[in-house]
Amino acid sequence: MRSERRVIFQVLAWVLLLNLALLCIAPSVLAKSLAKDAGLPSPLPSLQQLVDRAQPGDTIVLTEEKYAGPVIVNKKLKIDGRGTAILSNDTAEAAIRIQAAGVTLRGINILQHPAGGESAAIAVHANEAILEDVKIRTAGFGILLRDADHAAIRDNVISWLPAEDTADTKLGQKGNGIDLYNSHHYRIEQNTIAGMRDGIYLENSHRGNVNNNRLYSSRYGIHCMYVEKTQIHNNQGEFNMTGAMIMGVRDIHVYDNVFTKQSSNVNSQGILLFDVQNSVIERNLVEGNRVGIYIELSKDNQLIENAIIRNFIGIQFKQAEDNKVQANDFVANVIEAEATNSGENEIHGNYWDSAQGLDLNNDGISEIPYAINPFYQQLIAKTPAFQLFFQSPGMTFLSDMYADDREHWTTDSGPRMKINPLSAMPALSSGDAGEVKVLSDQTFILIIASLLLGTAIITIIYSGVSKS
Amino acid sequence: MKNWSLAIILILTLSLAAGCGKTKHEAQAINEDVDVCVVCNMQVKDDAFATQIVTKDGKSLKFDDLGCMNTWKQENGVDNIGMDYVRDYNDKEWIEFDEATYVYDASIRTPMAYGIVSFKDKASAEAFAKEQGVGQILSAAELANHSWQQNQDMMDHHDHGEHGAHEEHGAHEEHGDTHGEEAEHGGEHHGDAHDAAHDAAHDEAQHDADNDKGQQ
Repeated sequence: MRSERRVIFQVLAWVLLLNLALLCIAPSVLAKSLAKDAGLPSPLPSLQQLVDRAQPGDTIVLTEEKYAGPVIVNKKLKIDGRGTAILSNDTAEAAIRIQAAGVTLRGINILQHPAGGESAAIAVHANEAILEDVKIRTAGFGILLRDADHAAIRDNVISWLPAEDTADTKLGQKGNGIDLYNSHHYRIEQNTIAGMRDGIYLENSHRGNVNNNRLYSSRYGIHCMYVEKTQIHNNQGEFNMTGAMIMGVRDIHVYDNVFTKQSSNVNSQGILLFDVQNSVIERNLVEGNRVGIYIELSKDNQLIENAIIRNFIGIQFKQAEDNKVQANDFVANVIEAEATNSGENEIHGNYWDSAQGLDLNNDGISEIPYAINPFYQQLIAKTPAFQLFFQSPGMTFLSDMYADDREHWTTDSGPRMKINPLSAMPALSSGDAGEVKVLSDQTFILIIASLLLGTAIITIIYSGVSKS
Repeated sequence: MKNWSLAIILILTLSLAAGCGKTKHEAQAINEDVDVCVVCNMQVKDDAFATQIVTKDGKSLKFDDLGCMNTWKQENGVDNIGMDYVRDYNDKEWIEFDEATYVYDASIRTPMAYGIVSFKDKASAEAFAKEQGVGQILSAAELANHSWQQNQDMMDHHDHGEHGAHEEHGAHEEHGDTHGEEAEHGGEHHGDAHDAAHDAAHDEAQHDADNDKGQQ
């Protein structure tokens, strides 16, 4: 008995002692960590010192967990963060400013805190920069290129860093993800950009290649201003205000891109072409947008084999002439096409799922042209509130009555009878609801029928036959 | 008595009618969520480059760049304009188009690259031009003779540091002239002259591209 009690007492005593000891140590630990936080200038190792010590051609491997910016790189260096190093920058300068040709940045995580102006995580002012596997969270711009040719920007992730205790920043107030000005021969590949103003902004930058990027929830996914001879392909955009905003360009090639669900804003489009000349837009998929493809003041372009599916308005022309619109598929759009002052386009052989065709010579092309009635568009252009009458019986009736100047309406001279099997494919594979058909229609009907039969029999047995 | 009330009613209606007659065409606030440029379809940012026309029937047309407003005026005429507004570069206050002072330089970056910013007084315009080191100061009347060229510069400027202020401005301007045609085509897209202008601009671009190759 007694010995047991002693043991318990001893244990209790030890526990008490331990607690006391901990209490004594804890404040000192706390104080230490406080000192670390309050210690300004921060005790983080400076990347600038490493850069200053390095010789041109060196590779700097970042072994510490965290570094402090800003850094100016003014010699040819390779900086490798191995995917783990974090560079944190609180100054308005760019976290990394590249001023020498041939600099490579790889595997660095950058936190760019300050907002406003052209504050950017990476600012490149020299040629032949390579930026790879860089993860950027920024309250300003992501990557800025100014007079920097032959840049390669690939596999980076750029997203918005919301400032503390502020409400949601409007898209227009944010910085661009990747922003080029007067920088040519670029390659922008496999980047993921979300929640910025423009995902990729190109101005006065020619002969580049933008491919396989993922662009989400930004104002414009890709925004071109005065760009020439550039290829934009295999990019994917979702939930942006507009997927691709292509303005003031010529000789560019936009193909195999997918822009879906651009519909959150009253002015959303999948692809917008404004003042686009002599360019090719082909095999793109625009699905579930407010407007699939919008084309204004653009000449001599080819729109070929695009799949325009489930948009509110499939394609919209405004003062766009001499364009070739061929072999596109228009499926399940609320309004297939609208056109104003756009008579002279060569529109032939597209598939319109609501067109009533008649194929007399069995060549797959309808002999009845399909004319696009501009009545509704003209009406709402003057008074947008008339959209309230969309597809009301009166509006449909008036549209049908309207035949003014019919020979100048945008018309498909020979609509295709069948959907292009190739362009139907991506539409199915990108089905957003993820509906995978497990059952064939026949088995489905069979199951329903047998279920019905079963319930009928049960009802008869329990309520009908047995009682009488 | 009856005459009195009749007179009062008459006076009231008259004054009401007079009040209605004096419609003010006030500038509306920019709403970035819904406002897009009437001409170029870009979002109108709530910044100093935004401009606005309030028509006589009270409709507000917003533009993201002064150049787009100019394009609209050329296409639609000025008869139906109640008031046209630009913004002060510094405090973003709406000012009447005719009363503002403008600074133009090809190197000033604006949303549609027309390179013109507006100020409420000449002093602040001059201060801006001084700060930038470049910039031609223009009044609203002088803007009527402006070429409205967009800076769609195809030349590579490898040797200048910041494009905020070019040193080789002479060369730049000379180059800009050749692009005047291109800018005009922005204004009159469906004019008959369009084809010619476009071809010329295109040739020029080709020429530049060749130059480009030569340089590298």
